Amino acid sequence: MFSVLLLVTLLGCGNSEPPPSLSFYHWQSYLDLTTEEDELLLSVGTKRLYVRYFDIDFQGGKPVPVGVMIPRKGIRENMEIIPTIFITEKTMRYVSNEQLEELLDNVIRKINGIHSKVSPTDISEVQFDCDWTAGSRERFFLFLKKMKEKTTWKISATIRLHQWKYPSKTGVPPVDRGVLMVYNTGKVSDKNEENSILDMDDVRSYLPEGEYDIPLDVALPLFRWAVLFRDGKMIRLIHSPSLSELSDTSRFSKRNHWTKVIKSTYLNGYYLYEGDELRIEEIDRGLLMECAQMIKPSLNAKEIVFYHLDTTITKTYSHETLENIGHIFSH
Amino acid sequence: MRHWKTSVIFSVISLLLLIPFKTSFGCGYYEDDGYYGYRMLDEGILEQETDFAPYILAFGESVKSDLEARTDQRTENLKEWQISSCYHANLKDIEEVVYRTSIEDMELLRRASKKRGSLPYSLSGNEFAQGMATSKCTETIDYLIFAKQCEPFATAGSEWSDEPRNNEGISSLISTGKESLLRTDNHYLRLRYTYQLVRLAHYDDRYQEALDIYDWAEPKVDVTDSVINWWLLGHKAGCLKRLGRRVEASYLFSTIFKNCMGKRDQVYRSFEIQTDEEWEECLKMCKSDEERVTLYTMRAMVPDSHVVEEMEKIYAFRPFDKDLSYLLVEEISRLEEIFLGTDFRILKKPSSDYPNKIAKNRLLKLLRFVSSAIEEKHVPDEGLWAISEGYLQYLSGDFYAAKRTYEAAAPKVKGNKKLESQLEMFELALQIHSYDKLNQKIENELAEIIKSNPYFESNSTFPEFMFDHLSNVYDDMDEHGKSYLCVHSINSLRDNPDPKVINDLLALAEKKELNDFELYLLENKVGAEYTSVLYELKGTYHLTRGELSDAKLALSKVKPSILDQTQVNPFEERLLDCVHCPSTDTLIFNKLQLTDELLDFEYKAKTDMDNSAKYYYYLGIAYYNMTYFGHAYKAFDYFRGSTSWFNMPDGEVMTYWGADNGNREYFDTSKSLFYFEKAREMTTDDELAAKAAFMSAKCELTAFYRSDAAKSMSDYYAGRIPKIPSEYTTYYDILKTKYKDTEFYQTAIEECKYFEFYATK
Repeated sequence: MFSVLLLVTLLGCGNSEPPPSLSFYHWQSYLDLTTEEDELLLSVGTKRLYVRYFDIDFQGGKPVPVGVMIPRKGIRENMEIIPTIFITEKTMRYVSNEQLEELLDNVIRKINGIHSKVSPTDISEVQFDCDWTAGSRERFFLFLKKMKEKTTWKISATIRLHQWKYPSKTGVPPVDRGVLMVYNTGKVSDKNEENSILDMDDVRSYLPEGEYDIPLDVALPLFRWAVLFRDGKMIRLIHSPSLSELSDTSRFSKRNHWTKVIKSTYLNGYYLYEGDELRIEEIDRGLLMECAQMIKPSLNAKEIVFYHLDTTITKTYSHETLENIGHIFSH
Repeated sequence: MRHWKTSVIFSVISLLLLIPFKTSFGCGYYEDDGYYGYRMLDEGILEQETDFAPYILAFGESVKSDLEARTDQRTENLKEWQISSCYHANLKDIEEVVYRTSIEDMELLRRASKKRGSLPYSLSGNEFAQGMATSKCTETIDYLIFAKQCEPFATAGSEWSDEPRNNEGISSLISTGKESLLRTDNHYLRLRYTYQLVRLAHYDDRYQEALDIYDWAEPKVDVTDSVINWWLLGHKAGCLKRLGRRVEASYLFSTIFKNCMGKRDQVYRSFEIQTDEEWEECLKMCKSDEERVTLYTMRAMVPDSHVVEEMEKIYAFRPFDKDLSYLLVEEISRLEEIFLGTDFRILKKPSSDYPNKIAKNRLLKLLRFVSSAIEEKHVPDEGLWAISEGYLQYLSGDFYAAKRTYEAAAPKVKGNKKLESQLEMFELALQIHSYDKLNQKIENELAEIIKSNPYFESNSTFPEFMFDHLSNVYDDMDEHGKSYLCVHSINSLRDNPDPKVINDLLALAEKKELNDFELYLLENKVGAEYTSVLYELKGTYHLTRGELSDAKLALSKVKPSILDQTQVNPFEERLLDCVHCPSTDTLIFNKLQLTDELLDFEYKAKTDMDNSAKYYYYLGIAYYNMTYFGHAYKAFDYFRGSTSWFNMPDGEVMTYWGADNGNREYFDTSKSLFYFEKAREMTTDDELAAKAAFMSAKCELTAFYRSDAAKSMSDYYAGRIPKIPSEYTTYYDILKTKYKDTEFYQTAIEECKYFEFYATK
């Protein structure tokens, strides 16, 4: 007995933990991976893809699916698809007990229906993303609990930073594991904010003192957006704006992280007026590393999920960069 | 007494929680969409002229709903059948046949039209069915049967349904439909067949096939004046968009937007331009300036758009286009939200950032554009533009220019009731807003506005607008009472009495001659018995401060009917606090009688030395019971907030929903403590001294509740007896050390869990 224990101990001393696996969220309307996207998945050895199947919103007095993803092209056979469902907080605030039962059945049926068009393998895990509050927590947690009872799926949920920091106040969802979303830390509508996607001071302030009650993996941001301010007021986000368009000096003038519209023009389908201001927010390699180093001691992540997979990130982040992020979590 | 043996804290808290919250008396105006402010622009100003306006106006949601109800696709379809079918029947009967009759019954109808049977029972008496049978409208009946066969493939099931479509069934129907189309002589029915076929292919994601069917059928159909053409075009545009031909699709959507009201909302949402090049390409597809205007109008409709920039472009090539008027009204309504929104009061004393420079520039840009267009005499609606110019001048703060513009605009709107009425509303707002001093003459005018001006009733935001502004002016004139009543009710003053306002209002109430406006304020905001009500409030204010002579003076001027509304007996002793437990004493006092009694006790306490201690003790009891903690709290307080208990360390004035200036609570028990101390000092009776010490301990406990130390009373909130710092238990200690042998001590130990806890700790 003693010799077995010694062996285990010795083996344990010699090796550092393997780096966490690297996965991605797919948060687009169509599942139609480009060659670049597929190559990125291959190069970082991604085995799991979290595909948003649909959102659930509360409309006309009942929960309804919206923005249902349309599969256009199959996925490599060895890629595990984790159906991911975004639920608006409003839904869980207003859904009645009777509606909740019906909702569970509807969601299961809908997920199965979409999954049959996406992947030949059975579903092993489903993830639910809902920014619950005190007014919706009880219903959301009940939804998760019942979902687990009704299916054989592992259930995971996204966890916001404040929920990580204050679990006794916000509650811990009854799921198999959580994915900590380390992004959208700042106040996007605040004009004085420099980067609302990831602010290290904000992240630092959310580092918890104790352990979280369920295993936690981590989601890190790999996206860029432009925050559009008009007449001094934030009016919309423009996702993945083209940097080459923004560098067109006949239409835009750049100063630090601000870009001013000097000639009214379209950008990503939005008509911008002269005088509009865009705050371009993106995450560079250094910031991503810093973030990983800061949060690593506070959680034991086995998986890093990058938000989110699209063609623009394949041009911005090399697979070495993403792998290095993974290595930070393994030391 | 037995029930007091239960934990006092639970009873107090549970009773506190039963008290309902106040309802709101807030000023200002909320719209359903969250806008808080004033509206002088009538949302229906353009509606009479066209159904187009509500789709543009940001505030036109209610109008839009009405419009949608009138123009939904089903209604449009029925009207089409009424006009275009082979038999003209009433809408109700057409609806029965088109939407509710089964395919089986339609087959029977078909047989009847060929004299091979009678009408089905469900259609007997149906004018449309009978007409089609007797007129031998077999082509129409065949089409309706085909349409009913298509319907299951074209209507969406449950949002949650994920069943695959029956592709074979759709293919078969398309094939049958094509054959039927070719067999049909009636071009109107051919058009409907085309619509069904294209829709079937579109909904089955066969976009190119849908376009091919469209092109195949188009030369075979010769109908130009049917709404079905626009529906069909909508499907074509939808398929083009799905195939990535976004610009063509958007151009078609814009033409549908202009011409087909029932589809307007839908095509607006489908319209999509991604780049400057696409926009230029789309403009090139337009066949007329009118079509180009529609593109600019659709772009201007996006929330937060710079409408004036789009207007300038439209004006450049089509100055008289009606869309300019709609956009003008839209932009004014948006500016109104900025300049007459939540921060209207700030408008009076502009801060550095409100209304911000950008908003001012936006307003001035529109004003310059409007003025210039009027000067060039190139506007689609002279009257509307003239009054709009004046209103923009008003919003910019140039009241003088606005007044002159309104005067000049009057002849231009003559005969147009909507515009005449709008001008009157604008002029009225200007008139009110121009007052920077108020006098007897103006107050008479105001009274007249309240009494007879239709806008005081019809514009839901105008009264708030008027009174908010008047309140500011009165404040500047140091007439705080009137200023207060313009925006608050007497309940707000009761919640947190302000002696300056009370005295000012009493001076007003006792004026020899009140004008109608003053009378309106007093009667509507205070009540018919306003003098008595105000004196009662003044008397209560003094009572809370222990200023008994002043209280008596004020309360003696109150009518008995008002006085008797509050009946309490604060002299009733209770070992344990229970603010809502019914009294066991039949003796009750109104506030005047209570004041007399307190004065009498004070006098006797000083003069009747044999009983002085007893009088001091009862004065202490009375003053304790009139505070927040006692059963006679109504003597001091008109509204006792249940949750105030938990915020005691924050002060006496609590933020409360519905209490405009906060809700004052009466937590201070120092006066009663003073009397209990006097009682203990004067008495030789240990029983009375023990009671006084016990009551002093309760006063000390309330002092603890109000201290910062109580902020972290987790025990207390958890329903447990709190651990109190020793500086707040001095009287419990006195009771323990000095009066342990009294009967009262034993009773207190038995009945008061708190005391038992502290005595035995």
